[in-house]
Amino acid sequence: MNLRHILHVFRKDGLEILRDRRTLFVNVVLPALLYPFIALFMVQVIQLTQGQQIPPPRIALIDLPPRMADLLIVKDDDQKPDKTESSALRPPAHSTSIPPADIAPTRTRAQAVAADLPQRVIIALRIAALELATLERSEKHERTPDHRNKEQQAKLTLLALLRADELAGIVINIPRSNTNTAQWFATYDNAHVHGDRAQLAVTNAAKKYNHELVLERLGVAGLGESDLAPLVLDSHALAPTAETVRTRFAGIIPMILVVFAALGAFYPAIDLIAGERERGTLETLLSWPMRRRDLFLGKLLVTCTAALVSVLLNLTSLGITMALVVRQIAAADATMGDAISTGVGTFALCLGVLLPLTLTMGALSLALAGLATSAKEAQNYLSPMLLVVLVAAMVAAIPDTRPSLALDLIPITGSVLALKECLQGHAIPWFHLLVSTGASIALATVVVGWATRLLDDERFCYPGLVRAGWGRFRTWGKGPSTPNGLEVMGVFAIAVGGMTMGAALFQQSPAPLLVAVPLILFVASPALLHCWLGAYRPAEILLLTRPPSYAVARAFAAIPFAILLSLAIGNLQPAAPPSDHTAFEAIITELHGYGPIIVLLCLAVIPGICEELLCRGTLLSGLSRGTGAAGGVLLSAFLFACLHMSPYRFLPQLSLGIFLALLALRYRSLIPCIILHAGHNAGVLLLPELPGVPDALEKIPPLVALGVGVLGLWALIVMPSRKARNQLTK
Amino acid sequence: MLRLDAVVKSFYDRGRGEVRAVDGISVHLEAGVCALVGANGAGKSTLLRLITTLLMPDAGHVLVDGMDTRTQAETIRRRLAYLSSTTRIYQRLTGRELLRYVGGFFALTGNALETRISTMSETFALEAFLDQRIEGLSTGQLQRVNLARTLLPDPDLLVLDEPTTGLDVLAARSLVEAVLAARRPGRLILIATHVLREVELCADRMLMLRQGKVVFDGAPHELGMGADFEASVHARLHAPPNEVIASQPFAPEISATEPLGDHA
Repeated sequence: MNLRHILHVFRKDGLEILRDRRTLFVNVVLPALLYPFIALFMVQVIQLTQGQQIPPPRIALIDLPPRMADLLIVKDDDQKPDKTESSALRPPAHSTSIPPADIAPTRTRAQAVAADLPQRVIIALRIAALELATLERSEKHERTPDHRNKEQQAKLTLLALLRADELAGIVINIPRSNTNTAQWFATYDNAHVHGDRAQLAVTNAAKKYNHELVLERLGVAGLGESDLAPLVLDSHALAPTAETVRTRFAGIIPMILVVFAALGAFYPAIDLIAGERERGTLETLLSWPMRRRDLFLGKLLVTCTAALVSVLLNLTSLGITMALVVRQIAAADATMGDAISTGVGTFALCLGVLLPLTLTMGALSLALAGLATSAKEAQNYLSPMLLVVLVAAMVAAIPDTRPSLALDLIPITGSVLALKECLQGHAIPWFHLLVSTGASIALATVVVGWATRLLDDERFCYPGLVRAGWGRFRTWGKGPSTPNGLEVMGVFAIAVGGMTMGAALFQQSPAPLLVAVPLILFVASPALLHCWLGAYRPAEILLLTRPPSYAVARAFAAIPFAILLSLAIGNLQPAAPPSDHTAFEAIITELHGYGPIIVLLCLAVIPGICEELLCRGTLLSGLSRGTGAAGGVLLSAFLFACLHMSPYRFLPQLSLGIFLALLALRYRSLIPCIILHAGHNAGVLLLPELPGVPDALEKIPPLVALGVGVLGLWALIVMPSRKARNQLTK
Repeated sequence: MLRLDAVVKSFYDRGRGEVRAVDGISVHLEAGVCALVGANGAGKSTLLRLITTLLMPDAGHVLVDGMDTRTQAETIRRRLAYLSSTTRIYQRLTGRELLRYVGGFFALTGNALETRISTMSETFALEAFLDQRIEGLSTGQLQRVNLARTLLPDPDLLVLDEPTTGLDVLAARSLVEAVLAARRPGRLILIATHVLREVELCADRMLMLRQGKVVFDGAPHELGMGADFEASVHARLHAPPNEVIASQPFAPEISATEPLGDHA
């Protein structure tokens, strides 16, 4: 890597981006202007709306007591549920736009008015409304198509009458006999807003009138209002308003930040490779003496910088705007200011969490946009990515979502949830922050590793030219010596499909067949078949070679450490619900009936062989070709963990998968991996059943066990041998 | 200087299947000017991209000064410069910024870089617009800046892929003159073209390609090109012949005119 070249590309591309009006507008001008403009607009609209004198809706009150007409008219104060609350929402004294409510005289304002109508209109309305009321009261079995037509016709007639006299609604008394309860029928012209306002006014007035009637009847019976309500529940919000607001916003802000980071990377990514290709400068650039990896890293640096600048600008602009809006419209409470203020620590934490995410999105955007032959085509490729980012980030906006180990492993989701916790003012979830950031960094490493290799690929530089080698899928056996990533992912998809759907065919079989046959059919067979069909050399792809004896010895020695690591991770994460392992335990119990050899064969040896053939054989070789050794190790381990289809077994399998892949790469043989895998499975299954062992294991603190497991595996699998060190020194 | 050993490069075309754009070419070139001639699709551009390390051969070897493009691409790129009719330059930079950017990759820094930029500026008369953004330059000015950036690192191997395509006669001529001026001992100039006049003017050696294979390798005059090369052009003129001819830049090269009759 040549840092000078990376910075050279960064400086020039940065300069070009700053001179590109489109990127500048989207990444700088828009965030700086958009939010203040929206805020100003909203404030103006609210002020204008408040200043408007909208006439109250007219309502036809037919055969109703005159008191209802009085009750439709309410005082402004009546609308405020609580004096305290109204003062809390009062604008600050210095605000000149909206007059403070307590200075303005108490006004009497009609929510709606009872229309004064001529007798002929009242008669017509009465007939139409009673007809509709009768039709609508029909039982379900009476609702024939003819009945529905009549009902529709009656509605239209009544609506026409209402609109002819500019009425928003009608309330009519339905004459009833032999009952003390009056029944009113009300209907509104809900196609217009005044219909909704009329409905609200009538509901409030009817409620008040009902209350008055109840009090009157209670008085006649010699009772008071308190006799009807022996219990009064008086509820009050305890938390400061600022904290409540902050909690509500905490879920949205991380989502906004992540989306802005993705958007910030969007245009530079399009411009820097697809744009260069379209403008004809990419070929010139590639003919200059620098490593293509350095060129990509330089461009990635520009993309990530642009994305981070966009995030910072958006964040600042959003913060200032929110402060202005809160003060202008709602905030009278001095403590509301705390709702939007964030400390330097939180700010730094946000940036720290966003950095690997930005890197991932920058690399992904550059790579995807680079596959396009034009900027327009690049937009088509990047739009789905934005959608994925949005969905992953939206999880934080769902109320009550909190970080968990399983969610931490989903890169964007884990990070936004951890940020949400920080912004809500809870204790900083260091563990979740660490795991989610680790997942993001792992993803960033894989994506950057993959993307930096793209410029080395002729198909990436000249998408119009497709190598003849691509025709190899039609002529098996003439292809290259290793499969590509897409090909092995297809094999993995077949395995997963088989294990999820095909395995159901063996549900009624005895336990040994239920466990072993799907593994052989759907995990091992696709790997072997792929190797045979592709005419790949089994020694290279499936690593079916004889290992040195010390490799076998190391694999055996690593078994206790692998068991310790799995148990430690299992103890650290939340316990699986009983439903997760009931079926599995039933199978194990049944297997025990066949004796220990069958148990070991079905749960240790066969899974060891089958899963290693697929994961450390086919997947590792194919994914390493596309993403490099590190990418191959991480991705094959990730897929290995996914293959077990249980969130509670994910982390132990992921860590085991990483060490197994390292072992496979080191000795270029699958045998040590099968030994370690089978030994690990056997140990995890059998150790808890040995007398005294579970107690002994419980006494070891999980973190100590984790440390010992990792160190032991590292020393046995990763650390170079003395011989290798000597060779290096020489 | 440049050796091609049984070089093969194939592409997969959805309609035609596997297409061998370069089909087993073996050739050895020394310093001088060599023209690559051939019809569209003959494999000229692919061959030049293989030489400039933009593409890698499927089989065979491309060696520049003994270095294989597969293993020492970056070192080879330090010794060559590439210019084609399809390559463009950065529109949002000024000419000076572009030259500085290019120089940075060829380890030209500080005074050495500024001196080289001055030399290029004088050679191609760039002073008047060197600090203007490239997007505002005329086609001729753009071509001069492009030539300057190509020759800035003083490359031993200069690769030009149909550089005169899209240029008017005057600009094309000045480019050919610039190529001739760029000749120096130890420098190989490879120019792909289908304009035989350019070959005649500047090439010492000519490779003619057809369907990815070399069908002729020798001096241009061996094909009957040279001083005796003549062409007749039939044209319908809308003004008196003398006036039309006098207004054309190629006027001195017209040896005779002959009226074909009045078709007005």
